Parts: sequence; structure tokens; C-alpha cells
Amino acid sequence: MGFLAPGLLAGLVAIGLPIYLHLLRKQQEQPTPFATLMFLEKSEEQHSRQKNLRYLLLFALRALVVLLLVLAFSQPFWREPAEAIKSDRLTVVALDGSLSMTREGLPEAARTAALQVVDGKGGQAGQVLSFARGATLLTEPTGKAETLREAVQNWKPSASAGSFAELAQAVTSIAANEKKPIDLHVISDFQATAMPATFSESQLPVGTNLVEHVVGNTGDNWAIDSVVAPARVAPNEKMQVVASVASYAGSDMKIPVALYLEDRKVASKEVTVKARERATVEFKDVEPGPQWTRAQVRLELADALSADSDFRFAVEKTDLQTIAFVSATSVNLAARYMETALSAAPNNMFRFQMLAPGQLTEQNLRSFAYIVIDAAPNVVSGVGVDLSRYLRAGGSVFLLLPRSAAAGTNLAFAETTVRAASHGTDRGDLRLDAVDPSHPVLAGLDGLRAVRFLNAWDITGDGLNVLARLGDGTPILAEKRVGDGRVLMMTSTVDSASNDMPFQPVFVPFIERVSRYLSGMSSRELSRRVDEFLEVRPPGVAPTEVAGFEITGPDGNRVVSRAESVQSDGVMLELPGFYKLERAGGRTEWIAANVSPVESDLAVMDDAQKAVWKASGEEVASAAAVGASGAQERQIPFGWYGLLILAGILLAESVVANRYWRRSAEGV
Amino acid sequence: MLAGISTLDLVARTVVDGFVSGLHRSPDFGFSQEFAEYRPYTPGDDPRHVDWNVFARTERTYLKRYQGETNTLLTILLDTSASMRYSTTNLSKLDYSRFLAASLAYLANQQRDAFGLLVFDEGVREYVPASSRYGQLTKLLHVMDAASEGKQTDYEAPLLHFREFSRRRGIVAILSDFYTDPTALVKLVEPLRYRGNDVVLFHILDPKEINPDFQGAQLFVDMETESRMEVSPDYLRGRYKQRMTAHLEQIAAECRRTGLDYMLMPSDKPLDAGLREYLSIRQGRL
Repeated sequence: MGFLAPGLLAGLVAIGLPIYLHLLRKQQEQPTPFATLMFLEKSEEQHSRQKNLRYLLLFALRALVVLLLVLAFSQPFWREPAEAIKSDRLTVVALDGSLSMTREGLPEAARTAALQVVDGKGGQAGQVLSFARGATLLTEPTGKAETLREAVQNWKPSASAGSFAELAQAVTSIAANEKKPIDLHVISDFQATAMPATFSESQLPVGTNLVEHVVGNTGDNWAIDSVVAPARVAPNEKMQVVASVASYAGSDMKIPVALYLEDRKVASKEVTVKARERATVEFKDVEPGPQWTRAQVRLELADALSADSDFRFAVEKTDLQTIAFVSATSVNLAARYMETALSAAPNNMFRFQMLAPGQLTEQNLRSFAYIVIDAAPNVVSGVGVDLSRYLRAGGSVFLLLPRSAAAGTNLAFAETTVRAASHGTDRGDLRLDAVDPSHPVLAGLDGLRAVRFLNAWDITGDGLNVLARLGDGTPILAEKRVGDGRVLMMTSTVDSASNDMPFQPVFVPFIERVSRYLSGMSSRELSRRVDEFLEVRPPGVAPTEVAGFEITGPDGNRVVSRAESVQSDGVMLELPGFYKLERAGGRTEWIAANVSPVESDLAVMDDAQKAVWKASGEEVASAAAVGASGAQERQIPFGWYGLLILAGILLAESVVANRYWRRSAEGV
Repeated sequence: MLAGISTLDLVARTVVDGFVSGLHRSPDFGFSQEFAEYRPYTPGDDPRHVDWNVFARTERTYLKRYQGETNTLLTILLDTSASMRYSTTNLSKLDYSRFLAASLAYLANQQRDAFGLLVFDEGVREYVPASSRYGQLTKLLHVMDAASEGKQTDYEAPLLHFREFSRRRGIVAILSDFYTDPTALVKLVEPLRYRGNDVVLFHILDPKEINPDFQGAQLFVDMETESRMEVSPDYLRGRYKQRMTAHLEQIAAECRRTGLDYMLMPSDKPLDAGLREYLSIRQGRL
């Protein structure tokens, strides 16, 4: 024990005050002569003894108060030897749960190393965690070695990419909660790619002693890091698949690469990949199966990490989808222009069907890719079905406002009202002025600015997202979400009477984009990565039972049920493989998930990098642990404990003093 | 010494003369001045007691007899034990007792009665046999004044001593604080009564002994045994007072039962008032 301010111990002379008040003054009390004590009882004498005891207790309490006050101000501390310090630390066993740790023999080696740490930690409390994309605490801090052993034995690595930043964040959180210095045993292959780009993200908390347990070593590895292929193919269309093969090996290698469709090898090639370079493999004229095809490009060799030798993707073969064009007349110029434009587009997947307003039924609504409504007054009023319900369930509508539209028309299904018309002059001064370049329909379509508009309607409505405006401010293209569905509104139409768009080169790609966007084709990606979130429902859309979905994982387990989908917008892709998404209405999609390419590079951190990381937690820890004498000991201040005890004693003193003086004052 | 005697004498005179003059100025009032009967003169009688008025009217010689002539012999037993030194005023119980004893002696002297004194604590310290001789009062006052404070109280030894040396009946006045068991006390005193004595117990107490009003806890020292005891004020006000009252009542009851006179004389009580009260009671008895 020592004192940081030993000079203040001189205050101990203040103990003389209670000694004087209680003992010396008491002795100076003059006894009172009395004629006889014959009328005083023995019991009263005992009471007096009790009072004397209370008096002495009061003295003891007051002396303690002074003593503790002096001690507290002197800042006492314990000198704790290194052996004792060790028992006051927390051993954290951090198992690297990243994909690279799935290499053959590494999980077993990691468990063995972890068990050795658990067995060798002595009486220290321990905690086991696994880190990869995030950190998972496998146990609470505990002294029970059996619990820690059980957690280690049940641990297994994941398909996620590793990150030491996640580990540092978890350890920082543990240190803050436990308020103990940590012995951090990291059991990992110490991939260099796991270290974040910004070193500060991997900064260890103060007092952390990093102990490395390296398992595995750098091996030659090759991986398919990307595949280019169409996500959709038209009927009778063949596809081209280009795979990029990356080398993480120190030597060139000739690698056989195979293409599998529905687990059936359909093509195979050999590619020579130079050391630390990339090469591409191309498979031509691949004929996908009907509807969905789960495809896989595979490196057919045994390398260090097998999980990245497969690259999965899903291809959808779509039949021609029907676009319903609702018009009051069977001959509609806008419909004709649109049909012509789509037929001119490469890989056209759409066909047109003209419908009178009364021909729309609840049954045939779902069969259309989307519905075009030429919103003449008699059309809007003549639509015999509830378009709102169709929209809320995920349907799409392309709304055109021709010259014949009427101001004040309430488009209830789109929750929009038509206001006044805006007419352009023959000189063509009504052109696009403001465009949302991020929208999938408008991105990159600069040719739209060349279109001259002769007629457009001003519209208004809550939640209306204006994508493009004319020079006079009139919205020309706007979008409105209704439930899970959407309405794309063009406040003009696509005939020659309202604008000259059909005669512009931009018309065909514009109509194709609108069609792909509204039919949901444009958003589909060929494949995704593990650790990505698959967003099924767009953010901000209120979930409904009607629009529920169901997702089944690669292992066949349902990861999101239809009931759960009400609370969830999607799912985190945790496993490589094919996820099955079943939407409302029975539509099924396949989503391919592949491992992160960062795990393919098995190069380990160099020693200098590890030393810097280790030192990030040790610098202050060592300063705090080493005493002035240089011996391995720690100063544990306990002045606060003394103050707490002091508060308790003061309370007791108050009680005892109150009772003592209350009894003495009864005679006054 | 002389100053002390003169004080005693002066107090006694003041007390006795004061209350006698207040009581109808009757020369016949006193221990033995009450007229009892006439008795024919026989040779050898003191001619001073012949009632010459009767002789003048009847030419017969009769002697006038008084009560005092049969039992007027006053013996004062004065307790000088240590507890009598107790005082919370400017007058200790012993001083008060001395004044009272002096007053009684003075009164007896005035009536030509014989009077004596026995000073005691745990034993007999001084004994002056009763006498009506000239100078007896001075002698008594000397002894009283010289009586030093004694030790503990023991009533047995002095009372046995008195019974042994007392040959004549008379009045026995015991002046003490009577810190003893009332039953045992009366058992010791009662035999005096059997021998025809009138016994009166003057119970001398300090007013604080009867009604203590100490502030705070007190460490008391017994003035006789010197043992110590710390006592809380609530006890003094409560239980002590109850026990003291019970003690006083028991002494009074025992005295009534055995025909002893009992007078409680707090030391703050005026002596003349106390004496008047006693003599009034005594007159009533006679």
C-alpha cells in the first residue's frame, strides 16, 4: 500500500479531537456527591453501561471518520504484483470467422489454439467471440472454463469477409463494459485484406494486450471474381458468359474452367492465368433453360480456398411480356408509336395489346407487364376495375395525358389531379429543363432535351416525385408510389400531336427503359455478394400482407417467411448459393450470392503491420501497469472506496449520536 | 468555636422565642409546662413548687404538678454520618440538624427540663447525659458544634447505647436522614417507646433528595460508601422519586403503627415552622 499524497497523513493528528472530546473530557467530569445510592437500581446501572458503550461507539465512529478523511485525501493505493494483476484482466479469445478460415484444417487448428488459451488463462475471466463481417459474442465474460471450451468447440467460420475493424470495435465495447484491461488472443490467418484501409478503425482499446495465434499460411489461390452475362434473355436468345479469373498465386497456372447450368456441365475451357494477374474465359452461345437458369462458373482445380472457385449467377428467360394499352379508341397513335419503338429495340421482350377501358378485369391485370393508360376523360371514368388495389399489390401503370385530357380530372388511382394545360408555341420553346439524372429511365438519355413539347398538363398530388420539368416549370415526367406499385406519369403523350418525341432518336431507348422499369426488369442484378442485404421491398414502402414474400436460403431453410416479411424489407445474404424469392402472386425469382473477392487474397499481414496494430493497445496499457519502481505492478487507487465507507460511517455516526444525545437531553 | 456556638445559640433563641411569642405568649407552653394536678405538700418537697395562691386562700400547702415533672427529659440523638453533609443549598442537612437540635435544647432549657445529646454515625461519637444544670446548654452547643462529620450510619449501636444508659423516661428526638430500611429502623427504635419514652423522628432531608432536578446524566458518588453510579436524569425524575416517596411513606406508616412521632423536615423548611408543627401535634397528643 502506498499514498500518492503522503504529506496529508499529517492530518491524522486530527484524531486527537475526538480523543479529547470523548475520552479526556469524559475523564474530567466531576462526580456529584449524593447522600445515598440506595434508591438507584441495578438495571439503571446497566443502562448506563449501554450508554457508555454507545459513547465509545460514537467515539470510534468519529475517529474513523477523521481517519478515513485523511486517508482519502492522501490518495491511497494498493501495489498489486504482476501475478495479481493478471487475475484482474479479461482474456478475450477472438476467433476469425471469415471465409478464409474455412480452408481445410484451419477450423480445427483454430479451435485447438483457442482451447489452449482457455486452458492456460488460469483464474482470469474469459470471453469467446467470433468476428468476420461483424462480431458475435459466443459467451459472456465468465470464469467457467467449461463454458468457454464449449463455445470454442461449437464455433465454425462463416462465408463472410473478415474485418479487424469489427474486432477492434467489439473489443472496445467489451473493455468499456467490463472496465478491465484485456488480453486479446486473436486466432486468425491474419489476412492482409482484413485490415481496414483506415488504421484508426482497427485501433485497440487502452490496456489491450494483443496476442497473435496465426493459423494456416499463405497458399496459392485462384478465384473467379466476376462474371458478365445477361440477367434476362429473350426467348430463343442465347447468351454469352465471360468470367474473370484472378490469380493470388506466385506462379502461372493453366486452369480448367467449366460452366454449369442447373448443376450440369455445359462447357469447359482452359485458361492460363499469370501470377497475380487476371484472365478472362468466354463461353459463347449458351442456351439457358426455360424461365430461370441457375448457372455456375467453376475453376476445376484444387487450390487453397475452394469457396471462391465457384461463381453463381441466375439467368431469367422471359417470354414476351404483354403491355396493355387502355384507350377509348382502337386506333391510338401513341400506342402505335410505342409498339413500333419496342419492336425496334434489340432483344425486345414486349408485345402490345390494345384494350378498351371496360376490358380490364381483375383476372387479367396480373398477366400484364404493366398497363398504359391514355387518360382521356372517358378512359379514366371507364376503367372498370380498382387500379388502386392493383397498384398497391405491386402493379405498374404508365399514364399518358393527351391533348383531350380535361383540366380538373381526378386520377384517383394515382392520387393525382390534372390542373391546367401548358401549350407550347410552334417555335418550340417548351423543352426539358430539369431532369433527374439518377432515375433508371432518364439516366444518360440526354437526347430527351431535344424533344419539343407542344402540350403538357400541370398535375398535383401528394408524394408526387417529379423526374423532369419543362422550361416553364410544368412537370413532364413524374412518379408516384402507390403501395408496392408505381405510376409513371407523362403529362403529355407520345404521339406527334403533343410533341415530336416519336421522331427523335431517343424515343426507342426511352420507351424500352420505361417498359423495363415498369415491368421490373431493369433492377435485377446477375448476382450478389455474401454480406449484402437483399432488398425485396423498396425503402419507405409500407409492408402489407398482400405484398408479402418468402425467401429460402441456399441450404433449403426458409430465412424469411411470408408472415415475417411484414416486418422485413429483405434478407442479409449470409451464405453463398442460390436464394429463392417467392413474391406475392406466385412470381418466383432466384438470387445468386457469391463470396467476397477480398477473401480470395490469402496474403497475410506483414510483421510490421502486426506490430503497429499490437502497439496500438499496448502503449498506454504498459504505462499504466508499470509502477515507478519499474517492477511489474499496478497501483490501484481505493480512495473512492474509502469515501464510500466514510459516507456509511457518517450515517452510522448520525444515528448513534442522535440516539445518544436524545437520551441525554431527556433530562433537560 | 465560640462563633459557632453563638450562632447555634442565636439561631435557637430566634427560633424558639419567635414561635413561642407567636403562640399566645403562654409561659406554660413547652415540653413540660402543662399543668397536671395539685398534690399535698409533704416534707422534703421543694418549697418552690408550693402554690402560694392556694395556700393564701385555703391555708393548705399544695404543690403544683406539671407534666414535665413526670417525663420531661429530652435526649437528642444527632446523626453526623457522611450523608448528612449533603447539601444543595447553603445549609447542609447536618447544619440544619444542629440548628434544630440547638432549638430543642434551648426550648428545654427555658423550661428547666433536663436535656442531653448523643452524637452518632456508625457508632456513638459523643454522649452528654441529660441534665438541667446550669451550663448544660452551653455544653451541648459545644458538643454539637464540635461534632465532626462521621462515616456511615448505623442506628443499632447508638440506640443500644442509649437504652443502656438511659434510666429515666423522657422525650427522645432522633435527627437523621434515615437512609435505612424503615422496618429495621422502627424495630430498633420501638423498644425506646416500650420504656415510656416519647420518641420523635426528625427526618432531615435536602429538598433535592426529595425532588431531584439534575440536568443531564450524573455520576453520583455515595457520600458514605464512596461507590459510584451514573444515573440518567429520567430515572431521577421517575423511578427514584417513586422509591423515595415510598420510603418516606413507609417510615411514616411504621411510625404511626408503633406510636412514634415522625416529622419530615426538609432542610429548606423554616425551623420555627417545623417546631411549631411538631409541638402542635404533641400538644394534641397530650
